Amino acid sequence: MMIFRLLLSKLWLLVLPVVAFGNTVNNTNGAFCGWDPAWEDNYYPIVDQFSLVSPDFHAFLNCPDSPFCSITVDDQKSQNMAEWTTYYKGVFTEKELIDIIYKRPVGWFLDQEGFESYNDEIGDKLNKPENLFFKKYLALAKISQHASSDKSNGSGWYQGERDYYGGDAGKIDKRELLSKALELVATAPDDFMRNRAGFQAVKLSHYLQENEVAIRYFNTILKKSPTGNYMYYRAMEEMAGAAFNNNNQVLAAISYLDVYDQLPDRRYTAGVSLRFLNWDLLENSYDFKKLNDNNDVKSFFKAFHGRGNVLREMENISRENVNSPYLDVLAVRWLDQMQSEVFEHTSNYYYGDDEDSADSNTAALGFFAKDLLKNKNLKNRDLWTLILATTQLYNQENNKALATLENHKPAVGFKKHFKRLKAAISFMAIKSLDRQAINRSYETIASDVDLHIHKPTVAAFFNHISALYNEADNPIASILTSINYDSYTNNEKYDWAGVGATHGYSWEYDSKYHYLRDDYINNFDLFISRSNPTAFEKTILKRMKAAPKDYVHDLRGTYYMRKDLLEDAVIEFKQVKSPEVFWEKGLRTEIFSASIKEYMNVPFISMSNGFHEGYSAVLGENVLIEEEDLERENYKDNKIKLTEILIKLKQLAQTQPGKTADYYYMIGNAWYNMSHKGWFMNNSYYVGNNNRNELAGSSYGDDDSDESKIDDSFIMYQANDYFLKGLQAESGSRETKAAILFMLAKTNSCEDGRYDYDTNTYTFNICGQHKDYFNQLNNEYSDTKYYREVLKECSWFKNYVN
Amino acid sequence: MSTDVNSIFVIDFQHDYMRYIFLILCSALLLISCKEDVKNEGKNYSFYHWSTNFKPTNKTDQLIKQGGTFKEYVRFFDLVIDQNADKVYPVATVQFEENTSFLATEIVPVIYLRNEVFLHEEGSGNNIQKLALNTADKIKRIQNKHLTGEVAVREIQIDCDWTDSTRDNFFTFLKSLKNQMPGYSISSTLRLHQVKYKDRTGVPPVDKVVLMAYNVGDLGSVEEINSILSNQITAQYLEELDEYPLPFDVALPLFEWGVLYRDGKLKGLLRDLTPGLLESAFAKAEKENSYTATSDSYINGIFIYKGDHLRVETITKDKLEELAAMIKDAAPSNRDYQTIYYHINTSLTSKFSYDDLSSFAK
Repeated sequence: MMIFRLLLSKLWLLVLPVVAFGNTVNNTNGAFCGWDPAWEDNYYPIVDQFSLVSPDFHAFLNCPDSPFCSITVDDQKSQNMAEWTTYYKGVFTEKELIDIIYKRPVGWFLDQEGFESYNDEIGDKLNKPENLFFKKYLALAKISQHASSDKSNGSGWYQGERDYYGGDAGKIDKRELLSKALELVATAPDDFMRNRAGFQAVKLSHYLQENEVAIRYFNTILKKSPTGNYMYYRAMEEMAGAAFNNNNQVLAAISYLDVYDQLPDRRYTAGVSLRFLNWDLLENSYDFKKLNDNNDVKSFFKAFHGRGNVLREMENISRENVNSPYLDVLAVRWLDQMQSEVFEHTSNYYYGDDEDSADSNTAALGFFAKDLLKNKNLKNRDLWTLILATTQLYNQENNKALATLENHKPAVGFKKHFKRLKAAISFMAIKSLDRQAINRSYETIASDVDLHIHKPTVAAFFNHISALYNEADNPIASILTSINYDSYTNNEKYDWAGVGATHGYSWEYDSKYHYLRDDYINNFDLFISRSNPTAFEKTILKRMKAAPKDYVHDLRGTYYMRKDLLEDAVIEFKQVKSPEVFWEKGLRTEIFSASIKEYMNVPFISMSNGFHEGYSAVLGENVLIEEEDLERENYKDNKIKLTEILIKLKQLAQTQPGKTADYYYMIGNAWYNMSHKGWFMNNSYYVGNNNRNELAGSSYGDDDSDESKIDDSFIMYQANDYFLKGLQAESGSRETKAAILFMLAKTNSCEDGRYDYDTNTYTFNICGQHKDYFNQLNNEYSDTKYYREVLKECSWFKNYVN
Repeated sequence: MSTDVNSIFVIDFQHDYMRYIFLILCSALLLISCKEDVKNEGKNYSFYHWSTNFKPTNKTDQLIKQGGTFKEYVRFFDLVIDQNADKVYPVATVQFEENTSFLATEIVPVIYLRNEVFLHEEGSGNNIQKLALNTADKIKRIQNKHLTGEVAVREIQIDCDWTDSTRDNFFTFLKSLKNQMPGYSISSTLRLHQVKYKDRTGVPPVDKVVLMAYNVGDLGSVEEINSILSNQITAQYLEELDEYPLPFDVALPLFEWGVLYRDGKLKGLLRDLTPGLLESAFAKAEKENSYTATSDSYINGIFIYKGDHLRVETITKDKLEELAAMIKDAAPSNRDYQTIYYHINTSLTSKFSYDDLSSFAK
């Protein structure tokens, strides 16, 4: 099954209509709903891609649910602020500059009224003659930042609302701002400030669509400066937009590529702009080839933004510079795509899917990495060794991958990645429940802090072994082995001290019902009964809140009880050392009565025919539930009492012939009430009435799987058998027989309904033995009180007999 | 003149002769008007407008008129994470032309929120209320500037592919938006698996949902025949439609695209693929609707390499008819729903007649 919208969202950069040349991205991915069962980041990033490249490139790494990875604030320091801080070293602190540039309102800079509170120490400093140019510049910049191209639609919450671009500033006169910018250019005290004012002039003329002028301003005003070039390249970006408007494709391309390379915080917008260029023309342009100094940037742009052939572009980059950061980024992206398949995390709840996977020519990447490692000029050998090992792992050459990692001595910063990958290769190679191999991996992780604080590594290990237990029909050990893993928290350290405290969440484990199979119970019993458990197994068993043996006895006892193997059940139940964990002290004796109506969300006691009340001497005291908040429906009956009374009733049915029908009727009622149709299913299913619907279907995403459904119709058959015995008993009152007949109709329920769309009517028919028992009740017992009760309460019966 | 009006007059005329003359006149009028006017007795389908520029044309007006509901679902803006600002911001705000004349009498603003919004700080916790407030304010600003006094706005539709990890935040957002816009009905889009597995995925706290009955295939697979529409898959997810606890409308596909693969892997989607463009860069391949790139080229922002594989996916009349019938069968008979075609700005609309679209709609 496909994860449709995820793929669309990842492809948005391919389909968006963009207006990029006013520095504003204005796009829609064009996707509109559809298929997306549930997509989540679902693999274990054993190698942390983010620690392998500069934070400048984090946005361009592989993030499964987004075309760009979200950048955390710490990832990037503002290049612009760094330049301001250097320029004003000793005059303004960084904190003061942040206040001045980002927080102080434009009204204060324009000496408007109402901003007197800003006439503070910083304000005084700014008003000094030597800083007045700075103040004037900021007044211009703060207004100008709200200006946008005549071809653009702005940004922020007012994006696309032309009248609101400036917010409170209202409409902006770009012509007037341009003349102010030119004034500042003329009076700038130095190149740093001239570049700042020049940027404004280039930007505003570009926004005014005076493209030739913008290019001229850039060429005549802007200069590279030893104190920083942030504004030089920002101006170049505006100039590139003007060049594009003038259809000067070559100038636009080389400029955008330069900006892309020089300004990490503009790569996103520059990449979008580059996609607008005519690359068929550029690739055949002699001028472009001659003038472009950023071939690695071009290749990266093609591979990343233009979804080009990644390997081909990597080869292109390596021909010029094997140490290009762009080459590393493409390789690390690929590494992560490979590990997303190798270390896939499949949750039981979700469809399998084919994630955006590594290209099929991964083997070629391996050859490429090998060649590169032979290149004497290559500096980042640690990275490329990791890449080579990952390609080998991807191609299922595990021993080669291990050898590659073993034969290389990484620098300190890379050691943890090597260790984690080696550990993962080792434990992923465990394909069966080899206890010693599992334990060796466990001990390796336990003894190395680089491994056991790394959540993906720990989760991958435990969940891989969990899957092996599941495959070996031991789902209980499987869930105890698993740990919850949410990729969105994979940066958090794993708390190894608590490794024996918690296991992964599972509805199946909570409800237990799914484990009522002899093979599951026996396999788990074997697991916990080992005389020499390994350290790993001890850890797993510690995760179980109940005593493991008690858990097994309760489960096995319930398994026997459901099958009416009552003596065996009692033996198991009596071995439970802490019964209070599993059941309460008393028994709801109304379980032996019947209700005419089917299950509904009201207490059974209000529906019961009260038959049990006549047999309190046999059934014992009915439990009183005093706590107001404890629903009687969810009370956990004492399983020993319940089973023993069922045994007793069976014995009495044979030893007290006069009441045989009554006793069988009560046994039948108990089974019916404990079937999936009854009020007391928690005794036999471990599932309370609030969750009874969960039993009706298979697990989410486990679509129509027969495996997840357990055939427990035998409980209903048991009820049927006892009702039949009661009916066939020679003794028994007509009232009891009437009640038994009605219950037999229930245990042989057969209805046939059909909706007629032409007449908008629903036709409903009773069929099979259901019909036979209704007939018998109607024909032979219409004189009974129970018959009249059924006629009153059961509309089906009423309709049928009428 | 509509046939409805004619029939009323016919009943009022008593005199046989006059009646005869009148019928002739009416028939003549009908013959004349058939070319210019359109029937709207179906009144049973609407369209999504998903482009950024709202520029009604004769063709789109005709489609609105033929749909008969005079209701148009217009994407107002998307909410995404602005990577530079590290904030949730709108993009692609709809642009109404100055003095736009609306044929639709009701517009339903549709806001698309990328799922990642609800993983971001601004789409979580206490910030959700602010996000809803900003969203509501922007909708109202656009409405006030372009729609007030022109068309009615009664409903706001939210489109988001929420997942387990974003569901709570998304549902909180829906509730907050309802609080911000108390006079409006709030609807949300719904995918097929969210119908079948409603117990697990949750039911959004909205007044109504729109079931998206397309994009069901395996877009990532080069072996897929048509990822937009696969009735075999859709059928598996319609079983419990009659039990869905909210009123619903149904969105049917009316669009086409080219799906590009390289080395067996999905590389991109090509929209607006004209026959000319197809011929210039691709040659027909053996498989149905498949093509192979004949040279390296650059199309719509994608670098295409010789040998790349393209599958053209479109909607055919018989498949759409089958899909519509399946939904009609699966829906409870006593529950009415509206049909919305996605989308109005597709050349595909010319391949379907009014009768087709009307008969597929409920």
